[in-house]
Amino acid sequence: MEKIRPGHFALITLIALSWTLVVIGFSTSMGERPLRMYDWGPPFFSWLVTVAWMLYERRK
Amino acid sequence: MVQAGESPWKYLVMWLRIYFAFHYLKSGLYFVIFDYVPDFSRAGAVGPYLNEMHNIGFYPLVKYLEVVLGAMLLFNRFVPLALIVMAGITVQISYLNLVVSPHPRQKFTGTQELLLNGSLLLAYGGYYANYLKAKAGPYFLWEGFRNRKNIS
Repeated sequence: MEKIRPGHFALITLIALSWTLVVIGFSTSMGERPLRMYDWGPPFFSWLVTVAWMLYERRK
Repeated sequence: MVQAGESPWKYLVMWLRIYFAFHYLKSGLYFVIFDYVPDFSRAGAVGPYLNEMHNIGFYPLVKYLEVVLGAMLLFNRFVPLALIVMAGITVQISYLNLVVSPHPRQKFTGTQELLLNGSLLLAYGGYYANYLKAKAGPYFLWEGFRNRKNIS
């Protein structure tokens, strides 16, 4: 399997965090409604888990 | 050729899988643990439908199902099967949010559901390749299991 490179972390982070911003924008109706972890939590925490798993696999 | 099991695609799919798992789990557990039912009277044209769903016990069934399906995705168990079951729920949520009650926020919810489920179905699409037969004869499940075992 191809080794995990820094660029791979950057790609996952760019996509996940950009999408989290899109979720924040639409779930708050562009700032009109309160920001809730219920909405931004899934894309953000799944990014954290994925990056942690990538770091673990890279060190193996 | 791009391989789904290679980095970075493998991890992009992993992010999507865990994202969809968390999305299902928070929705299901909110009901299962806190007994939270949204105020359907504020759901516009979808309200009466959701109310009846709740009255006949289908709404709670879907919420418990969401917990089971979310856990299947999170723990990476029977993912292709879970995604097909989720597709049924996605069709319903997307139709209600995009067609029946198209408030901008609901439009996003419907689109998000379609994007997540759709991209995961594509990401695991290789498992469905055998389904896509234009002409199929009867083939019992146990025959398929036996042949699968012979191949591996």
